[in-house]
Amino acid sequence: MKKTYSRYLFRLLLLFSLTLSITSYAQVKAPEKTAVSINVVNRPLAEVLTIIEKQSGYKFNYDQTEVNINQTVSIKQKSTLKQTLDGLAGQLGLAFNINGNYISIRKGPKASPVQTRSISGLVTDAKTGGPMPGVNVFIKGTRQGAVTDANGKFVYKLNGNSVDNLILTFNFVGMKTQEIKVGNENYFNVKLEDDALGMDEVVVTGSYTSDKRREEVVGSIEQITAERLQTDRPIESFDKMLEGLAAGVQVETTTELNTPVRINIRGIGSLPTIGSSRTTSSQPLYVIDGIPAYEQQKGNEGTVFNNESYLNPLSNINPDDINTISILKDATASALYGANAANGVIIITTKRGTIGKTTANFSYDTGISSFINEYKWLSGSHYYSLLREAYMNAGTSATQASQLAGSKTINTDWFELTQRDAVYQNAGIDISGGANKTSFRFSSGYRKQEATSIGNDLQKIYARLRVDHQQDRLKLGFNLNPTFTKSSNLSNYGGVTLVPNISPYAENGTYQDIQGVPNPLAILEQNENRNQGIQLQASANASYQITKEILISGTFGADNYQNKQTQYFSANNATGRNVNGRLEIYDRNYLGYIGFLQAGYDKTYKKHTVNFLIGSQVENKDTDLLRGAGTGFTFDRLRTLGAASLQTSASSTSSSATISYYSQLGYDFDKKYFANFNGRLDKSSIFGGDKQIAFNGSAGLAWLISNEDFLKGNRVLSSLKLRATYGSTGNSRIGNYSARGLYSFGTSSGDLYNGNVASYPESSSAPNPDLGWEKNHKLNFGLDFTLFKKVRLTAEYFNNTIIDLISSVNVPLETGYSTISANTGKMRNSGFELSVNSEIIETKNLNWNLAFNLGTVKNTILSFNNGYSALYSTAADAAALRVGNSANAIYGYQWAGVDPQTGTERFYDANGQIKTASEINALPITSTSVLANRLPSFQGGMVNSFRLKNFTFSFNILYSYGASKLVNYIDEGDGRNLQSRNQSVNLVDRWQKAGDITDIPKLLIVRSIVPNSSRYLIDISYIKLSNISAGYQIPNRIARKLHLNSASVFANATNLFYWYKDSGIKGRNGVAEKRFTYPETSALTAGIKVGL
Amino acid sequence: MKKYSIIILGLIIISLSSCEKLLDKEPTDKLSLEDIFKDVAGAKTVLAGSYKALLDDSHYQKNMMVYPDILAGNIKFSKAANLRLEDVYNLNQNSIESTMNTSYTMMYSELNNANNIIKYTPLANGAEADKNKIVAEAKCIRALIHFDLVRIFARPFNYTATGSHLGIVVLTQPQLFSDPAPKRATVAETYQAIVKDLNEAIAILGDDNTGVLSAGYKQNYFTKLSAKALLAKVYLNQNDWDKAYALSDEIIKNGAYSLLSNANYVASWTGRIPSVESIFELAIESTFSGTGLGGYFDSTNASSYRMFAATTDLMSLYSATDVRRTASMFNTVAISAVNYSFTKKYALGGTSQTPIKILRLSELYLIRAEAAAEKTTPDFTQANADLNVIRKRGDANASTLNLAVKADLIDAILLERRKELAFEGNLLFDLLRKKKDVLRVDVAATIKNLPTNDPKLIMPLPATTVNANINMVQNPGY
Repeated sequence: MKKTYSRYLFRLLLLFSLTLSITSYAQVKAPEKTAVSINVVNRPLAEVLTIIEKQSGYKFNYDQTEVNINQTVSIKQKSTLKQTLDGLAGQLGLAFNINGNYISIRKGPKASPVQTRSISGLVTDAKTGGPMPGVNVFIKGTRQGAVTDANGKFVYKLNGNSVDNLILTFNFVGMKTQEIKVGNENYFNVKLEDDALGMDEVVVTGSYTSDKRREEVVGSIEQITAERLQTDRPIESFDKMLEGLAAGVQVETTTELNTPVRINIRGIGSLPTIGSSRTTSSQPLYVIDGIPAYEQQKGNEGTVFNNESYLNPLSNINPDDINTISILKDATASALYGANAANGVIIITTKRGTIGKTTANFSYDTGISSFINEYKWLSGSHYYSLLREAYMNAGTSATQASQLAGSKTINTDWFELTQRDAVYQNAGIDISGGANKTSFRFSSGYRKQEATSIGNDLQKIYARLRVDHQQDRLKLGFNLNPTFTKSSNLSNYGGVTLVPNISPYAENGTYQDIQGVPNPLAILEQNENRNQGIQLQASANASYQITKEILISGTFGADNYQNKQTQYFSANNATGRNVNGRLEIYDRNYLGYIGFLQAGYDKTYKKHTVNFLIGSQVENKDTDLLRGAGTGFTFDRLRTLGAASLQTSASSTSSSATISYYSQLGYDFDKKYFANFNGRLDKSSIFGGDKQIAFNGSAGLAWLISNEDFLKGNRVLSSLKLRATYGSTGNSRIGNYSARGLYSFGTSSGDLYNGNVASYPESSSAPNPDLGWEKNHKLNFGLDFTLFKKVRLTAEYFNNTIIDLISSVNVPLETGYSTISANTGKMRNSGFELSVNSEIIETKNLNWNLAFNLGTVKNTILSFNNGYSALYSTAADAAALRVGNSANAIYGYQWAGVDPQTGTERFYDANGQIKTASEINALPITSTSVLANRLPSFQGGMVNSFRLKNFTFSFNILYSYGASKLVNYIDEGDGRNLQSRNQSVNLVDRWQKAGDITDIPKLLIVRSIVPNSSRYLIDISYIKLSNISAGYQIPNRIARKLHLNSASVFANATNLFYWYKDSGIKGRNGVAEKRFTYPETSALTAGIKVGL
Repeated sequence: MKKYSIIILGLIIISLSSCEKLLDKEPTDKLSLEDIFKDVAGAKTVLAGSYKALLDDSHYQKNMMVYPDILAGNIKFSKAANLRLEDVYNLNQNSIESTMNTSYTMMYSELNNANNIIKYTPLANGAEADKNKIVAEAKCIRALIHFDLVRIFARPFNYTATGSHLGIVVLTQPQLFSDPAPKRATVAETYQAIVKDLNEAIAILGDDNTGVLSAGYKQNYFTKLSAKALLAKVYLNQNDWDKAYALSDEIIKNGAYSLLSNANYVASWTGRIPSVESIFELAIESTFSGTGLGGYFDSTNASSYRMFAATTDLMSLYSATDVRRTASMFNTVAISAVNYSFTKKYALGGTSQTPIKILRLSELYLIRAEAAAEKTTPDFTQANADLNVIRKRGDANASTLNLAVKADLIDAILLERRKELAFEGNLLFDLLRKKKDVLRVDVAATIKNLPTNDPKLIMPLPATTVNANINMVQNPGY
């Protein structure tokens, strides 16, 4: 408060003094004739200026941020004002300009020659008031001019005779361009405003290249801002948030907390894993502020590590810190990433500080999530009667069946006992600011999220520090991001399938096993499964502008991930009873580092702009694992390895490295014709010999038609651009030693022979020196256009041919192996994408923005294993790699319904003949045919955002069409093994007597089922209202009264409505219930955000 | 400008060329092929693994020792469910899920390993003598595997006059993915390869008659003499009587091995110390606790594994005073009120498992007997004498045979082979090479008898290998 008053006071004084000086104007003499006498030693400049003002009657005018008036001066002079000022100028490096009775002071150089005029200024963001670095200040019609520095300031010398008539343009992507006539001004204070539609959006094109304006981008890059990402949503990781936000980006989301999700950019670019086959990862490459992050891949370690659970390292990025996410989809956009860019690249940049006043923001939100679409199980009494019927159907007498069926009255709702409404809390603080040449941003967050499954909790503490510094030609950046995670993953959903007519408690009140299966309640109370870890990402980068054209830069970063998982299986329940308690501790330590060094050359000559860069990169990844296990605990609560009577340990290490060289050449002519060429050479340790090297490259062309004269200024078609790109990217993410023949020790055939250490070839690790990179050849055509400056559309067609697909293929047994990882397939992903972004209403008080996207993809396997044999999974997985079909097809048999006479299931074989279940199961797996596809034929989303004065409101809609899911046949077992597990409530509609027309066959405990029949197939096409959010920005004057800079409140509701294509019958399990094994939740959260 | 570019480029290249060694990544949990054959110590572990692998359930620890006996009539099941080699017993094996598919898979895996040793050991660091011995032993193992494969998956040598019918895929090099798809050689070529391997090994293996690996007994490794014994058996199967005679004669006369006495015979099958007549056997580790071959014959094992009982066909062959008769060489137990007899050759499973005997001196006597009767200049006296040695060793009261008709003599030798070598994986192969039909009485299988040329007596090649290999020709009838 005090500050504000003093500022007013200062302004008043200034006004007053101005008035005074104007009135005294007539009294001053020419500077050459004004006598000044001064004699000071080590006094502040301000004092000297005051002395001069007093003696001469002139007034000084200066910018305090430019001229340090506190610097000390020693001057002894008795002469004219002119000479005094010249003396000061020489001593302090200042320039004094006399204009009327005002003397303006600026930093030297000394007075300019007559023809040139030095102008300077400050560019700020109209919205935030912060300075804007990197703004192009050009003389209109040329590309000559200056760029604002880190403080938003610029200085430029204008030459020529008619300097006054020149027009300056202030350009910054994402902002409306401003034009200002120079006139007789020397200092310009320019405020740039947001370009609402973001036509001139700045696009982050990668960590090697500088940001570009949207119109100059040749490749296919989709950028999602923090605003669009809606980081307020109660979702723990950004990968899950991406669902439905970008065309062609499909998120195969999960309903469990902190588990990895799969992101498919333009379909799946690698073959799916079939059985124990080994394939490359189909996940995109994530790059966070230049440092790659990978999903956790297993497979290099021994089987003793199988019990270790997968975690999602990507959830260690606090969504609140994300500034933009760029999704690089085609070859031109991603080829610079060569290795591992085959499935697209996702570039995440985090927020940075801005120079100026230090600001602090605090936010807190909390909420609760509860189930939607939960699977309906049989109640205890229903279960009893159906089980009894199932026994009787098999010929058991009624009395015996009643006895076997157990309790008639007990009804244990296992779901209710093991699940809950979960609480979500998220708090964050960020502080940013900077002065002079340095800006910083520090943020920290705390997130506590409960899973709806009791015993599963997640806590995270995030911290991130980013510092940027610029000194003349040298630029430095530093990033540090530790994230601490603590989680418990005790419960799994399996418990809810236990039979409902057994009580969880024995008569004496203790937990009892349920038919020999561990009691889930006992597990929750007695067992442990917790993770504790830290991920530390740090990076530093430096760049130096050697000449105006040449910039060299280097980045070094490391990603360290440590996690310790402790699992205890108590001797008090069936999980650990047979071994008297079992403790397993897994310690995982991953260290990846990357460094790259590059040089760039940028030059604009008349209408030609060339940028060229060349660089090299080294990347190394090491994983160390340690496992300690113990059994035989004398006292259950003493849970240390030392207390175990039998202790075992194991360790594992694996590492890989890649060395790369890359280069890019960009060229444009007159901002109309753009060309871009990339090349990258990768050498990976994963492959052997000459197969280590992969060269990937791309070429892209773009034509900004709207910059041609015939379209310039067109009001309907305000922008139009055509793009075409082609190139290749690689994939080597198959596991570190996949090409190597490995010898293992201590397998069933290893160990010892007469005490001699024996080794034997690992059956899954055949040597294949010919194994090489998988390559994705991407063709992309894009069309960007803007209508009425309001609606921006991007339409793209892609055709990706993936060659040398790596898969384990069946090989002649004479090789000594049944499968070998080899480059053996070829497939195609093609599709169409559409993104629409429209500012439908744009007024001062009301805004309505609509963003819509659609992506289609079709996959076809073009060749596999030289056409020799297809690869089939087990019937329950229903997958196969068969030429001509999609790699994601579901293979099986058509269901022919229930025979009304006998109540048995019938199926069609490949020739359309009706067969029984056992007849179908006897058929070779090769006689299955395609029933459906696991991936949607098209999917996307829509975001509508509104702003009415201080209120904001938005809702997201997601949709997906054409995907099917093969649900677990066990839940629909129709009485099969009913005595040992609960089943779907749908069973009440079962066939009971001849003539019953129903979909549910006669209940039988022992019966053949066809797991890959269309009976278990559901179409999961849907439209979903995935999120609604509302916010209110408290008016500034009220906020100020609350001693705050800004304040807002917001609320979110997720997963509100689902419309499924086939919604099913009320009261029964339909698509909604069967789609996810673990039911989805709907969350309601609310929070506040304040700026201090 | 130019100057800068050169400096920058130079910097980049220098900074990276020092990183190239980063790309040499070796696994630590397991060793890579390149790493393990870096030195002799590594190669020795692979050789030990090769011997150990022969003990796989689908090779000598079960299938190879049971298959020829269950198919030809020495073995019947003592129970009805959870059976091993049931399809072979019932003669309804098919190419998709034949029990012997796993044997095929395992044996080629063993072969690949042996080929790795033979190819990579010469490049290892270490003493030449050690390297040569390792390679020689691996060649013996390779010969043994080829020999087993050709007997199971191809017609016997004499099926055609020159052995020009289809044999098996012979591999003398590790087969890589990019290599041309392997083809079946003829039986003659197969035997040629086996003989070549053994002869090369014999030339290198030392007269000290020990293996390159330490510990255990000489009988646990291929040595000069055990290689010769195997070669004698190979020649016998190849109908190369003169060579079979010469080699068996050499081994018998060598004196390194001697026949057990009647009194010591039964006890020689207990314990883990090789008997005086054992030439080659697979050692069982002191810590062994798996099911093992013994588990399937273990009369005390009431759980699921005990299943291979002797047929009355076999037991009726022994005289009442033969040490190999039911009362002394078999454990008889009543299972569901029916008496079943289990051989004492592998009387106990689990921790009491005994080594698997592959070549014994008594077989060499029978080889010399048969070769003497068949060789270019037949020597019936020697044949009768050898036959009598084995007959009388088993049964002191046995009559002294002096058969003058060749067919009678051969039949007598075959009969003695069946009696002496029962449960050691020979019967079917003896019948086939002598063009005898399979005649079974005491078996529950629907098909009991099959003529010697019936396709069912030769196992199918696994469907997976036929499907994955364009050059592969399936055996007739599958």
